[in-house]
Amino acid sequence: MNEVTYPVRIFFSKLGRAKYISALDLINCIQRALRRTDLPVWHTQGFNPHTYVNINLPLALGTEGLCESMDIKLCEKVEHAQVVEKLNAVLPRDIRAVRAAEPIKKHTEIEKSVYRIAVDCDIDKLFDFFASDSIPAEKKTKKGVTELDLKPYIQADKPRDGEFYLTLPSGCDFTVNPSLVFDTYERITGDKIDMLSITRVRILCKDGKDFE
Amino acid sequence: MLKDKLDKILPKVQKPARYIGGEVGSVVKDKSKVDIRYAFCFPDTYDIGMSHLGIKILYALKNSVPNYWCERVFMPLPDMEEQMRANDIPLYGLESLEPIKDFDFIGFTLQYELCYTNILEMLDLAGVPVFAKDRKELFPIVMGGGPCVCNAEPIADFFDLFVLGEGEEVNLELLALAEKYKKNGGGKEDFLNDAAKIEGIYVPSLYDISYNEDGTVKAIIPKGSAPAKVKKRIIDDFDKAFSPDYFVVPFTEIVHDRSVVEVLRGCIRGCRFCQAGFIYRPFREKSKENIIRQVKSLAESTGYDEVSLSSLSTSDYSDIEGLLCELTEYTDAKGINLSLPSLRIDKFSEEVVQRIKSVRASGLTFAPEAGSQRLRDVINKNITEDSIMKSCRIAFESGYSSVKLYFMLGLPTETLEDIDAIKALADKIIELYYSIPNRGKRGVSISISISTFIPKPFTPFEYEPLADKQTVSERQKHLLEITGSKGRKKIDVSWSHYDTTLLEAVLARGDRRLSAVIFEAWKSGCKLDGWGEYFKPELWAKAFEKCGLDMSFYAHRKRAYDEVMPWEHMDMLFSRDFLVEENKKAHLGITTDNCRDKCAGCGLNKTLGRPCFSYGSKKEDK
Repeated sequence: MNEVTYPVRIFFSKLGRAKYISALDLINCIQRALRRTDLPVWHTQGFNPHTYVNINLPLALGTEGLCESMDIKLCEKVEHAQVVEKLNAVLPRDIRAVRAAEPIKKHTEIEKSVYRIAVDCDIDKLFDFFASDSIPAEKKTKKGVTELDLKPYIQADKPRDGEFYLTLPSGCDFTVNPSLVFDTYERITGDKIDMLSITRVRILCKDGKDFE
Repeated sequence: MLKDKLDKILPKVQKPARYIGGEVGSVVKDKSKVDIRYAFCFPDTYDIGMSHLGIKILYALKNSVPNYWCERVFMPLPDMEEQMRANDIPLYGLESLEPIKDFDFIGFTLQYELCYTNILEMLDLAGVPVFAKDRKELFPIVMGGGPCVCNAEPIADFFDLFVLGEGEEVNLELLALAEKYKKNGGGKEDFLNDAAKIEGIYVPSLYDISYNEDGTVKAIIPKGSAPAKVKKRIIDDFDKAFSPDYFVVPFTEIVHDRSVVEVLRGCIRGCRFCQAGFIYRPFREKSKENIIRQVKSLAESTGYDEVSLSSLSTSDYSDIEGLLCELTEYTDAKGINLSLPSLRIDKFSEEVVQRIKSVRASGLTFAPEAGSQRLRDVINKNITEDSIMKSCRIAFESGYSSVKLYFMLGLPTETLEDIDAIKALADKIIELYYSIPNRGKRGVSISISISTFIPKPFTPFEYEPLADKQTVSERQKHLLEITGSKGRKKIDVSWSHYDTTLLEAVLARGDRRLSAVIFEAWKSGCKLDGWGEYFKPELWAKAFEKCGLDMSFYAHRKRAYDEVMPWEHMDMLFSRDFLVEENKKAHLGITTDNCRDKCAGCGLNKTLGRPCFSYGSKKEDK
C-alpha cells in the first residue's frame, strides 16, 4: 500500500472526572471523538477497519495527567492548530488537547514518569520509608506476582505544602505505578494513606529529556 | 462537596467511570438559573440503564427546557454501595454530583418487575423515606413511569404519582405544575390533587382499595379529583414526537453501546402473550425522512460506529425496503454498522438481503415461541414453519451457519406434543442446512433459548395461571431428553430459573398488599433480584410468609373474566371485552389477523377518533 499518511502526535491533559477512564476505554473514547470531527483520519485497513489511535504511555486508572500523548494519522495535511481546535470541540470536558506536533521520539524511548503527589498522611514517616535500605514490594503482573526491591527506583523530591514529586520508571520494559509504592507503604508500616491526587506532570526519555 | 469523597472511594471499586459522569453529551447547567431539578433514576446498573432508549429521550426532553435540569442516577453495585454507606455518600446525580434528596423530582423508569427492591434501595441510599406517606414535604416528589405502570399496584405505597403511557408531553405538563407550586407555594396534598387532573397521571394515594374474603379485589374507589380511570397518554402524531439528536456517550462499555433510532411504536401483531403488543397501541410510524435525519445526526453527535433501528417489529415498517436502501447508502459510506434486531428476512427481496448482508448482521434469530403450529395459533404468533424455513434458506445460502430460536414453556393448552415439535423444528433446520450445496464450511449450530411464559396484565392471557414448577421442570426435562438423543452437539438448550419467573409473575399481576412484602424482602436484604448472583428466593418466601400472603394466589390461580383486577382503574385505551374475546379465541385455536390487514376491533380507534390504518387503499402485504 503506497498511500501517504501524515502522523500527528497530540498532547493532551486528562484531569478531573476523566481520570477514571481506563486505558482501554480511552482509546474508544478518542476514536469516537475523532469520528465526531471532520478530520481526515486514517483507518486501519483490512476486514474490520477502525480509526487508528495509539496512546503512547497509558496512565493508571485514577491518575491525572498533564502531558499525555497519542498518535493518529491523517490522510491529508491539516494545520496542527486546527487539529487541536477540532478535537477540543468534541472531547469530553476533562480531556483537553493541548498541542499537536509531528512526532519526534519513539514511544519506546520513554523511561520515566514524574508524578505530582498530594497525600493525606504522616509525610515525615513516608519519607523515612523512602529512605530505608530496602523496600520489598510485590508487583502483580499478568504472569503472576514478582517480588522486587523498590528502593533503587524511587526518586522523591522534598515535600512542599503537602505535595511532592515522585519519579518512577515507566515504559515498554518496566513500570512502577505510584499505587504500588503507596500500597507497599501501607503493607509494611500498617499506616493508612489517603490519596488526594496523583498527577503525571512529565514523561522523560532515556536521554533524560521530555518525550516529544 | 461529594467529588472529594468520591475521589477517595472510586479507586477501590470496579469500573469507577460509571459512577462519576462527565461523559460527552451529559448536560451540566448553571444551577442558579435552574428552577426544577430532576433525578432520572434507572433502578438497575449503569451498564443496563445507559442502554435504554427511553431514558435518553426523556433526559434530552427535560434538559431542552432551559430552567429544568435532569440528571442521571443508577443503582450502584454492592462494592460501590458499601463504600458509599461507609463514607456517608448519599445517592447523587451523575451530572452535578449533588445528593438527589435535595432535588424536586426523583423519577424512576419501571421497565421490569424484578427491579422493585432496587427502587427501595436507591431511595434509602438517597436518604429519602421509602414510603410515600412518610414523606410529608412536597419535594422531592417520587414518581414512576414506563410499562410496569399498567399495574403499579405492588409498588403503589412507595410512589407519590405515576405517569401512564408515553411521557413526552405529560412530563413537561407535570414539571410545569411543580414550577408553579415552587413559585406560589402549596402543600403535597394540593399538588397531588392538581396532578391527578392531568391526563395520564395516576396518584395511588387517591384510591381506596377493598378486598373480598377470598383475597381478590372488591372495589377501587377514587377520592378527590382522581378520575375513576386513569387514561394512558399517547403521542398521536408520532412523527412529531420529541426525539433526541444527541446521546450521552459512556466512557465505559455498556450493554448496547450504539446509537438507536426508534422507527415505529406499537405493534400490529397482537401476540396474545405479549404485553408490549397491547400496551403500546396504536401502531404509529415515523417518516422515512425523519428516521434518516435522526440516524445521521446521532452518528455525527455521538461518533458511534453502530446504529440500531428500534421497535417491537421493525419488519412491519410499511416501507422497510425503501428505508433500508436509503439508510445503507449512508451507513456504508460512513463505515457504520446498521443493526436490525428482530428482522424477518423472509419478507425481503434478494436485493435487500444482499444490502443488509453487506452491513455486518448480528446473527439469525427467530422467536417462534411455540414449537407446533397449533400452539402458535393459540398464542396468535403468526410465524409459520414455511417462513422460518425460507428465512433459514436465505441465511444459509449467504454463509450463516448458526440459528438462535426462542421458545416459551408453560403456554396455555400446551402439551408434551408441543415440546416434541420444538425438537422437530430444530431437526428440520439442521436437515435444511445440510441439503444446501453452497452452505458454509462450518457445521450448523442451533441454540434454543427457553423462557417460561408469564401472564401479564392487559394481555388476553392475563386470566391464565402461570404453569407450576413441576410442570415446567417436567417439560424442560422432556426437551433435554429428546434433544439429547440425537445431535446434542448441534442443539444447545438454555432456560430461565423458575424462582425468578415465579416472582416476576407475582409482581406483574399483584395488588397493593404486595408493597408490604416488597418492603419486608428489601429490609431482609433483597436487591438486584434480576441478577442471578444476588437473587435470594428464600428471603422472598419468608417475606410473603411474614405478610400472610401466598405467591400461588397471585401466580397460579386461574382468574375469572369478571374478576376485578388490581389494575382495573388503568385505561389503556382499548376495551377489556376485547381481551376476553381474544382469550376465548385462544382456547379455540382461532387466530386474529394483524391490525394492518384487518381491524381486530380492540376499540382503540374509538378513543383515537380515527381508524389506525387507512383500510380503503389496501397495501400489498409484504
